[in-house]
Amino acid sequence: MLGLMPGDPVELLITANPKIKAEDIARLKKVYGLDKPIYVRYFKWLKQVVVEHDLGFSRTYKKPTVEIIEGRVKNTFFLMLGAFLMSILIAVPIGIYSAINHYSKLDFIISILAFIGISVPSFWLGLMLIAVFSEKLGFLPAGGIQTIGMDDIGDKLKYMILPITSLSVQQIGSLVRYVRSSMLEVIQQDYLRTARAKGLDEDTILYKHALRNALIPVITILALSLPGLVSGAVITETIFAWPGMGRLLLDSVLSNDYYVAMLALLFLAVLTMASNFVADILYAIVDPRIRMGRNAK
Amino acid sequence: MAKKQRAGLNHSQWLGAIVIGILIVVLIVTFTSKKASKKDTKQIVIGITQEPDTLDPLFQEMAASTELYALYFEDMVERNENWDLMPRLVTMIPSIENGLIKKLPQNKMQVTWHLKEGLKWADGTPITPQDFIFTHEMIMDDRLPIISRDLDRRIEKMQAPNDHTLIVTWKEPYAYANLGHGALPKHIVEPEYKKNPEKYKESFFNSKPLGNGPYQLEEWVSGSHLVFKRNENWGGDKPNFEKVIYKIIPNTNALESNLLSGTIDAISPLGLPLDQALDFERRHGTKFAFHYRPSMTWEHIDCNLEDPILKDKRVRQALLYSANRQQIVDVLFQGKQQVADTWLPPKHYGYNPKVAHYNYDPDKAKKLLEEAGWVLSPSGVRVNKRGDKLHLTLMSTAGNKTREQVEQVLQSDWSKIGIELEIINQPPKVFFGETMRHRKYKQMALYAWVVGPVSDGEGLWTKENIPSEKNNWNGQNYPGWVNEQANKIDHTVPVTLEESIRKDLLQQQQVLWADEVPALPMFFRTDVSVTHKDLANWKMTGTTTPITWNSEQWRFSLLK
Repeated sequence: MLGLMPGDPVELLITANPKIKAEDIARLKKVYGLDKPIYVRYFKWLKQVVVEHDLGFSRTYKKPTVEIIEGRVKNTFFLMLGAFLMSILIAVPIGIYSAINHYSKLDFIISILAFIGISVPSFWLGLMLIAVFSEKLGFLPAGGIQTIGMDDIGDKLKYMILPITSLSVQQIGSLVRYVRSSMLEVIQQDYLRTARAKGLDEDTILYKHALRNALIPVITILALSLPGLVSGAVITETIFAWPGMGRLLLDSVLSNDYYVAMLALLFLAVLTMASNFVADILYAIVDPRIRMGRNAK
Repeated sequence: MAKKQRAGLNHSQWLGAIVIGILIVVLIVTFTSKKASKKDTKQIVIGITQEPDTLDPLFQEMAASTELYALYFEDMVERNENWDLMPRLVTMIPSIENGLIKKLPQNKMQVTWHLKEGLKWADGTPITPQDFIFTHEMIMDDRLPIISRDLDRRIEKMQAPNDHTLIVTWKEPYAYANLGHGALPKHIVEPEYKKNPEKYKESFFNSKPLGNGPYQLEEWVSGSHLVFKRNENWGGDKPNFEKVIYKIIPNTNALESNLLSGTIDAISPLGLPLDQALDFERRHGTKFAFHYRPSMTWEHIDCNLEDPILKDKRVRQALLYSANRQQIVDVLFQGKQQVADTWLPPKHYGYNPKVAHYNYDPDKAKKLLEEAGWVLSPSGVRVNKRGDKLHLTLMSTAGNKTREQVEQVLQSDWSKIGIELEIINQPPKVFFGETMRHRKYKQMALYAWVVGPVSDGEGLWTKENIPSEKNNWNGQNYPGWVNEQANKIDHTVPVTLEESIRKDLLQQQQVLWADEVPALPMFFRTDVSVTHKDLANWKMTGTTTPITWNSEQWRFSLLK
């Protein structure tokens, strides 16, 4: 698909510089192997990966793709993990609270805030956070991953606060709604009434019986968001000048940097499969009915 | 029920504690982490939207790479902000007058370069003519992805009679042979290159170059920043800043915020578009210094001369007379850009101020259209004898706000004289990679060329450079303009050594060009950058010479 995209960057060189001739373009294509048909290039790459364990090099940055991607994956992982954990830690308790106290004033306020969180565009929120916390108050840096020349964990965490907040707001909004509706559905089930009639205390009812059942759809949502831990968030990364995978993937696709794009997509495909596998395991942990084996028979 | 309420209360306390706990952690990190030191006057941090592709000068494609190049490399000859040539690595710029350029038999040419004494690479190794000869050999190696070999393919041989002299023999006279040659440190690059020439394109030199400029790369964190430290082996004046840091900030709004929060000291010319800079100046004009410099980027509309409507010169002239370009410049760019009359900018040595001017004159435009057989119909659109409408299409790059605004103004201007304009925009990759490259645009195309201080019209206006399948889509004469007299001039200019003769030839060419207007000149863009008010010696050039050309002179004038 990438190979079929119009506007190859090598071809574009000739439209940018009158000193470049068609023979230069032909020579460059030969050097980069772009003179071969797409399927030949693909199988050559596949052979290179499988037989020589060489994942190719970036035409744009003139570096091995692994070298480019490893730093970006690390940055994205910490950013997205922070946002992921923050979303869970904030959204799950609030969602549970909202469900238990459904139709209360606080529940309405939480619902309104959740909808605002879901609706707010991340680029706008990012810029607003920068305007308030960096420009006006000067508390937090406007972008980047660390103060240049300062190797301090506290400093790095400081750089993560705004992008994580920007990313989390949307996730918190949707997660609160999922947890609330899932929990609400479960606490109205007959078996919980039976549990109460048996005289079980409220904590056991809510956290042992209700929450575990309510978590199944939430786990699906969380597992599906796991690939995002490495795929990154293009808009947030661009606004906060965060060198992550989202920007790299987009740039590599736009500049037809095939090997970088292919490796990034391959990595994402593997992670998507892995996260589905993790979700299956988690289902079994929270719901004994799903477990396979002797007990389930 | 009472039990449930108690349990609910306990839960809310527990749940609230988690949320409050997170907020407390965030606040602690915000206020207790080590504060970055106050304004550090020993370094400058510059924001730029683009990350360089590579730091190996042989393979650079991006403008950001060119901007950084002048920090860590110094050339034989460089231009200052007035576009004067300055000898940097050499004692004197070769010319016919000083005898360093000689015409040889068989229409060949010889140029002699004398390197200054004591020149060193950043590791202290002396710079010799062998570095230049080796680099020329690399450029001519087909196994390396060298982008343009326009200069080197004209060279017959390079010789080094001693450690300070380089003699270059050219296959034919070449007007720009006095602009010098690039060099890489042979002692560092050669072993890597010889090991495997095909793999050299992936070498360490892309990310860890060793140069001879005022600064040397200290750190490059991909996607984040590049740090350059002072080169202690540089032969020039000691640079004022110990470090020059480039921070990559792709979003231009975030770039503004970084400047406002003091994270960066300057926004590179590769930062804000002009309209955003003007708006930023309106809001924060007193806080920063705004630098504007007319550039050589020529915004224009190519006319496809194979089109039956546009092949008539009178129609093209009418289009120019009826486009209120001065108003476009005044309203959209607050008068900061220059209306263009020809394809060369006023700063170019060959510019001709006496070419035909097409000041806004709709009446003249109407008259020309009527002469060409286009009369106004009751519908308000002009028609010819056959009843065909005067309907034109204009293509450009989608998503470019400025161009889209210009298109709308033109649509309005041309509708006033009875021309119907259809706008068809495409993503830049499609527009440049397919539509322009293969001359698929139907009638008109709005885009820009970057003209250099020594640009001539050979690639742009000669008939041999009209891209077609027959010539393997070679050349950039996209309008398909053919004028035998201009064609001869365009081929003569690059092989004419005397600048005064070249100037005369270029001026003649522009007279012919401005009469026929194969492309409609719109305006020359203005480069803009924004800096801390106390930053001194930040001198934009308005040409391909990057802002970093005098980085060793940058300093904060008042801050201590």
